[in-house]
Formats: sequence, structure tokens, C-alpha cells
Amino acid sequence: MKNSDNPLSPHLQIYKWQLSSLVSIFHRITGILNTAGLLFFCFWIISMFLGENFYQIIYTFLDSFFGKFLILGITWSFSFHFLSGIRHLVWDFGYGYDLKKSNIASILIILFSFILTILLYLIGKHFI
Amino acid sequence: MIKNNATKKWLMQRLSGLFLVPPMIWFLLNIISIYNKTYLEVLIFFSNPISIFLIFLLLIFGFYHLSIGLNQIFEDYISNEKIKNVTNIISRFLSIIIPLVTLFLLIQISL
Repeated sequence: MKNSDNPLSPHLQIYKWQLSSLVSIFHRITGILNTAGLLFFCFWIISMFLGENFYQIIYTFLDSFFGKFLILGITWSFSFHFLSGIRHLVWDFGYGYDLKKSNIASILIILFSFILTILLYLIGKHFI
Repeated sequence: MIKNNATKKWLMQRLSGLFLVPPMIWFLLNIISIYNKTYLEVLIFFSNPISIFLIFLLLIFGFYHLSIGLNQIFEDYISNEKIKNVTNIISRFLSIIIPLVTLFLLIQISL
């Protein structure tokens, strides 16, 4: 069977933007960012194994502005993917499909992704 | 038992995502707390048996979950069957090898 005529998903450039599509594509984008984050954590652990001198290179980076930005970025990316993932589970149980509910949920996901990021950061910085 | 492969993947993606939440939150909180600490302080964190156990869960569920997700993205956006299959094989291979190597080295660090 020749599969080359199979339709592909609509590419992003030709897609009309709505809240639902924004959250949907960001679920994927944050999924990829989380992958990158997890790979970075693996690299971090491996750098521990390679010794103090090698760790120093990553330490210099992490201790800078970019390091803080990276950690906050990964935290936000996880928060968004986690909240959007919860909605996916809600969808799987058959709820939340009508337009109004979908838009409200999208706004809540965006809003709470930032709130959760700040919460995780404050708890991590001050209570652990 | 579910026979259909796609349905099984669909279910496993949800389950691995759920299992991933507790170790991920735990890990993020700890990373935020130690990311700009010295070698010794970070070493103490990584040598803790509880840390090792939770990182084990994080990496196993994490790489399993992301491997299914990446697979779906390739499915949607790569039209060439040959390139798609090769990409899938490479990404699956890496998402087994990378966590295993990391866990092995993590245990080496803690000894």
C-alpha cells in the first residue's frame, strides 16, 4: 500500500489562530521543551560524574541570569504541560467539549501555568 | 487486555503522564532549591537514596512518556515514510539509552 497520499495535520502557518489551537500547539511545544529540560537534567547528572572541574562549567552557567531563566522556563513549561494534560484527561472522560467551556479552560490553563510557576519557584527557594 | 497497539499507547501515555507528576514536582522543587549551589551540596542531594529512587521514577516514566509524544509529533508532521521510520527508531533508541546511562552514572556518583 502506498501511503504518500495520506493527509497530514494542518501546518501551523495556514491555521487560523484561536485560543483552543494556541493551547493545543503549546501543549506540544511545552512537551518538546520538557524533553529538552529532561535531557539537560541528565546532562547535569552526568556532569556530576565527570567531576568537580566539569561541573564548574555548568555551575557558572546556572549561577548566571541565563541559568535562572532556564530553570524558570522549564518550570513554566512543565506547569503548562501538566495543566493542559489534566484537561486532556478531562476530555478523555468526555467532558469540556463545548466552545464556552473550552475557552474558559484555555484561559485558566494559561493563567495558572504562570501562577504555578511562581508557586513552585517560591516553595523551592524558601521551603526546601 | 487491550489488543490494539494504538489504544495501548494512548492509555500508556495517560498513565505514564499521571505517574510522572509526583516525581516531576518533587524534582523541580529540589532543582529550584539547589541549581546554583556548589558541587558538594549538589552531590549530597544526588547521593540520597530517596533522591535516586525518585530520579529513577522520573527518568523511566519521563522518557517513556516523551517517547510516545515525540512519536506522535513525527507521525503528524513527517510525510516521508522512510524518514519517519528512521526518526522513530532513533528517538526510541535514545529514549532508552539516555535514561539508562544517566541512572548508571547516578549510582556511580552516590557510591
